[in-house]
Amino acid sequence: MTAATLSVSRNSQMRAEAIAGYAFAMPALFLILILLILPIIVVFMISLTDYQLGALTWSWVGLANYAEMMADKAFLRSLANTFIYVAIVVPGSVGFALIIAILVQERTKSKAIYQTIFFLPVTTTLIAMSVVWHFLLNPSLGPVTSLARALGFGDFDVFGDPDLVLVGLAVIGIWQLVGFNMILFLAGLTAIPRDLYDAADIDGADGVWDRFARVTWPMLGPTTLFVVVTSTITAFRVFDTVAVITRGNPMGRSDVLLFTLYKVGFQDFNIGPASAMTIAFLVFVLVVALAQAFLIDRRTHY
Amino acid sequence: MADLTLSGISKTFGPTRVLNDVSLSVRDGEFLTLVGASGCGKSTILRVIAGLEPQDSGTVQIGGRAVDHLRPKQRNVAMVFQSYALYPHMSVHENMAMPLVMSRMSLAERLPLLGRVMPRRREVMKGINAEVDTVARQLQIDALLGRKPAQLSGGQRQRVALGRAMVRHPDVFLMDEPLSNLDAKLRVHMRTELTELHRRLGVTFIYVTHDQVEAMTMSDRVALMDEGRIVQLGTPADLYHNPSDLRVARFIGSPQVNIVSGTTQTKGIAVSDTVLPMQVGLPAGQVVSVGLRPESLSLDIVPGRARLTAKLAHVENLGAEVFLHFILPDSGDPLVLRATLDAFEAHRGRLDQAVALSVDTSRALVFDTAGHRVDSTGRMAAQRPMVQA
Repeated sequence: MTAATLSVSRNSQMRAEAIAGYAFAMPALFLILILLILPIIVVFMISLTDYQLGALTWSWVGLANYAEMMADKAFLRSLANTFIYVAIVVPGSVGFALIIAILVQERTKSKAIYQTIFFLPVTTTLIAMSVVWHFLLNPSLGPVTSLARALGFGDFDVFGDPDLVLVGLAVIGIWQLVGFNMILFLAGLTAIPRDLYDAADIDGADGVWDRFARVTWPMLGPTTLFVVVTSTITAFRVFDTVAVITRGNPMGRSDVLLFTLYKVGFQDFNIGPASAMTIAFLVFVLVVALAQAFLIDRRTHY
Repeated sequence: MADLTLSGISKTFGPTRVLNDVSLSVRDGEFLTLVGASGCGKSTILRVIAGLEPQDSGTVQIGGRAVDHLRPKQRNVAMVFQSYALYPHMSVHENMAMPLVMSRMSLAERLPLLGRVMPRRREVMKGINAEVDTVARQLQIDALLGRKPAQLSGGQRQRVALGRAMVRHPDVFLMDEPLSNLDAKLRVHMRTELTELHRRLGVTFIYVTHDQVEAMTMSDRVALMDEGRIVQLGTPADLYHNPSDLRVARFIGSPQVNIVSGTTQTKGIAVSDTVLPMQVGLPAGQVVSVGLRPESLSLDIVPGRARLTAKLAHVENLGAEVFLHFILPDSGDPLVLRATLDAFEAHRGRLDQAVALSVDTSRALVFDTAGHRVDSTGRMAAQRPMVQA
């Protein structure tokens, strides 16, 4: 066989392998296209129209929906509210989860019990729990408010107070997220080799702070980044509590992105503008996810 | 630099007794190896000395002062871990500087941002950097100072771990199986390097290993441990030629010592088809184990030596020497013989045949049924481990 025919046969063999490879990837690729990519494209297309749910006609409006959205005070307010909510929930749920995980990790016999207790909120239905929280913090009947009154803190109505409502919702958000984040941190803590703490003891980093600052915290870097990103995305998607407890009240101070989207799309049936908001939402989540991918490569990789 | 004394150290983990009244003294500048199978308590001793594990009873003295109440960092010991235990998020330089940073800087000076504005920090850091550089040069890792541990080979990580131990000029180096994660070739190389390092530093080394070759080749003295006790403490030659216990004889030496069962007679010990003529201070008719090192057997017929007939079952040719595996006909006990290539050539082609071997009874080791060594006077030689050096 000459060199030429050899390379031809190698080429055809490579082509056959490539075809086989694509054939194997096809089912998964097909599903990704149908279930993920296609809906996004469809939503993007709709966001360029004035389509109303149930309407028989529609027309292209270009980027008008986006322009309107950016000028819409209600949308911008809900966006700001969402960011405030995220800014409270993420540090709160990550910080508490880390503290609880470190405390629970030190337990030996009661570890499983504490894990279960703190994980319980994760397993509950947030809609149902929202009703419970609503009752707990009810200004006249709620046990929490009654207790506060009895202790002399005076009357307060968390979900009726424009300054408190986002904080109240954020507390529920933190309560719901802490258990899940704690489990992730516990997994991260278990993965830290005992030897490192022994070495730190011998090197003189044997105080609580030094052990945390020199070993625990740096070793939890990848876990922390993951927890922050998942918490951010979860907090960004806040909807259930708002829909059940406040419905955006008082005075739109608890309007959040997904709730506004829901109102525009499914109460006013303005599917076009709602689709534009969906795309905006997608962009924010995508930015967070990309930031994670970028950061994992740079900062916490060792 | 300091000597080290353990007296009556005991330690239990739950129901298991890991250390059972261990006493040991290590001379200043000595290289002492604790060797034994896994679970014999050797690593626990190291952790007790370091202060990582509190003992239930007994005292640890370093340089003549009791250190039981001191925390690990106050004992001035350094430890090299099997896993190296390097901080993965720190560079080689930061790893090595860690003990110095912790001991010379205040909490405020160590803080990430605030520390930079502390007045003394620059100067202290300069001193630390200079010392780290010196040690790094000694270990020939000065080119790697900026790298993270993940970017290093196993041997380089090993050196960094050594460097981190060296920068603090400890009284005692504790090494917990430091070579077991290296590949075979590098391990042999690092053996030499560690011995040289010990000679150069002149500091007390306590070295834990399960590898008897490391114990034999590197140490001034070896303590063989089993079930939380020191079975025998002595020079490597002592443990090889004069083991006090069957466990020691079995553990030390490669290939393993041959153990054949025998019965005492008035004129010697009956083994297989022969009687080994030797003085044993035991009454006749006692069952004993006879330990024969592979080099106490020979293919040459030496006049005056006892002769043993065994079947040649297998040949291992290592080039310079040959290990011949025999089987004793009646008991089925295996026997390994160390021969030169020339001696073996004469017997080539005798596989599965009976071969006469001569036995050097002057080097035979006799053990009673409890595994204690029995010498010609019948005393159990060195039955208790020699504690004092």
